[in-house]
Amino acid sequence: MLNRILNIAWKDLLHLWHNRLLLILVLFGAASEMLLIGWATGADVDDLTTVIVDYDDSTTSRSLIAALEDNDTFNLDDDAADDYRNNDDRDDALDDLFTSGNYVFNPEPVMLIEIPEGFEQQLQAGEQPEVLLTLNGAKALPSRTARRAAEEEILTFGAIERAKALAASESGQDVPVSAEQSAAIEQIVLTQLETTQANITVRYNEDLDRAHYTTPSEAAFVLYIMTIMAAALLLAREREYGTFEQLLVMPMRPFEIIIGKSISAMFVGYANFILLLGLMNVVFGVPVRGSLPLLLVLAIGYLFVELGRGFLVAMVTRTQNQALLVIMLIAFVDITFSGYAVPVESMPDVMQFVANFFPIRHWMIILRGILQKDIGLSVFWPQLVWLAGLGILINGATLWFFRRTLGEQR
Amino acid sequence: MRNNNHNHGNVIEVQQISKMFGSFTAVDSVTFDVPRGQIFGFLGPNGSGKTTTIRMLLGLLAPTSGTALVLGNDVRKQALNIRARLGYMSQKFTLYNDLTVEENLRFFGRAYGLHNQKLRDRIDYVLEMADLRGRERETPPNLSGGWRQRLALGAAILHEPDIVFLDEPTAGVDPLSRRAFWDLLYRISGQGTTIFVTTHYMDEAEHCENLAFIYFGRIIAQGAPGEIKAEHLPGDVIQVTPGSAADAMHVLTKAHQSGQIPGSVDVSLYGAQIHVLTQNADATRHQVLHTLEQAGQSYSDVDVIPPSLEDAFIRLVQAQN
Repeated sequence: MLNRILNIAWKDLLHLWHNRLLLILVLFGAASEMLLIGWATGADVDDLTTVIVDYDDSTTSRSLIAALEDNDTFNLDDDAADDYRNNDDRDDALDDLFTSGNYVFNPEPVMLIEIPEGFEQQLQAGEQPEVLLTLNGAKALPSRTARRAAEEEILTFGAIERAKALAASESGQDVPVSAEQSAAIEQIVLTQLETTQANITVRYNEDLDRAHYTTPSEAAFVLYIMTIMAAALLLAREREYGTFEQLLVMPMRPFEIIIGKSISAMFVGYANFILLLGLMNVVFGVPVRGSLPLLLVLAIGYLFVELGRGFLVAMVTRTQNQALLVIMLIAFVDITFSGYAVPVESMPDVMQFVANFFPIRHWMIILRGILQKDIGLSVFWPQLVWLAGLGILINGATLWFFRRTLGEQR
Repeated sequence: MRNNNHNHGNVIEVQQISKMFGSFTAVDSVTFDVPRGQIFGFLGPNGSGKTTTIRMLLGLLAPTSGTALVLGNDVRKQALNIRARLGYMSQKFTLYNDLTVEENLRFFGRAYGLHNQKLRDRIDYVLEMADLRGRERETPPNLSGGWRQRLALGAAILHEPDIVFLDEPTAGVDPLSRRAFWDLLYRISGQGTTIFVTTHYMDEAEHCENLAFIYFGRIIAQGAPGEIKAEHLPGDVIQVTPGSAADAMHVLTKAHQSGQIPGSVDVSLYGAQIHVLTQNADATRHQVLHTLEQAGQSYSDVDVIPPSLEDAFIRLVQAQN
């Protein structure tokens, strides 16, 4: 029995070996995808193209601009500011501004900052001048980052200028106050701001490195897609080429065929998983805080659930092409409910419940939990129960289809 | 005629098996036996139920009704040890196109429980038999059709099965390769393997020791080729090659139907020739030529020949319709 199972597994690995393009995809496709995602999301969001239009043109407004310029978040585009000022139609000018990027050397601005006329005067008079921020909502994430940084910068600046104005009026001096005084006031204000600032500690991902979030998700996703694809294609190709019938007349039991095929599909998925786990740790410093052996064992269990789905796809389709299309369809839905693109917690209640029926959802929780939080079975046992249930359901359906195919082939 | 007397009994016994697909009857109450060691031909046009029958015998399809014993074992519960004694070469080429000749054979051998020296010996034998020596590392798509066919046969008999089922093994293969293929079948048969082969080539059917003639799911004749001809085509065939086969056919059919040709049983078109089946060769021959001359039809080459299986086939099919 073992010989027959291994014979099938070996043959399927030979298919992989002979199909060099597939081999390259299997070995390096997943790794390069994860590296790219990791690098792409690993950097802080900075150097955001920002346009400042200064209608006040005063010493104060220029020092606000200087302060913003010093902030790494912004990269000021002066040409765009001039163009904007020269256009009398504001709507038209805004459209021009936010569509002006050519994306290669000159990205479109994420934010426009307008300093109104009388900015300095109002500040010195103790009034509250308004600085106008216009955000480019088409770039949601960068513009949100830019907005937060600009608000902080402008508020701090305003507080300092107000304090200076106050100090000047008290001492009956003219504004500006002397350089020493101004430095002292700035120090006081900054200290005051600091005392009221929130004291933030981040657990599990101390540097809030986004790569620590994206790469495990990517690894989970890759493990899933590689396994389900390998399983589906290895079985679908036999059905498509008519070799499946040949297997069925051989002295082998159906489950021996399935186990044999599982071994090779599992090999593909598992080899990738180990590779990605290593890369994640070495390249992006994603720690394995929990039990590595537990993770490796649970990965096998999870893979069996996904293998079942892959075989199920192959049993209800007739060709590799069809199987591939069905897998793409499944993958789109799976990604949604995996919590990879959108956190499941932020979905409507109904969708949160539906998400439970997607194995990858539970696997993501387990993987992240073990990697980042050192949690064990005592915490995620509900996930295991779900996975076990889904595994029985899916593999039962696969076996049923297999038997049906055996009974009534044509 | 080879001597099969040392092997007694039937390796396949089929009693009234039918297969329905929905309301369509693919195989209709078919009964036949295949004695051990024979080359048994299953003859019939495309879609007549040949493949369905083979698949039932292999345990791939459950019969709707009736019983079929293969090696004494009911096909509904095809046990592993029985399957190990059967070989199957399907209509489609079902070796793996991306694996080399050697890898394919090794996979097939191991699947049937061969290993080590035995496996190597059998692979050597098949490579030699199929004339594939030196091509072990080639993949099937690089081989010509005839070679591929022999490789597939080799894979099917690697484990020295008691029975090998061949489903239209020579479809689409050139005549020379077909001849070589049949030489191989004789060789395998000579070693005691029973061969169950489906075909729609008449010349191949003539090579079989026993035939079953299946048409629209029903067996309409069976026996040795000679017996079938004797039973369904008593008499001789007048073969005439007219100037215009279509016109001559028209004239002769009319004469035959109005009873003007003494002894004639049937008139049929046979390529560019016309075959007139007769029980009185001389009288028929005379009248046929007379009829053609009267109608102004030219002809050449008039022969009295023994009826072929194809004549019998056409006759049988016409009788059905």
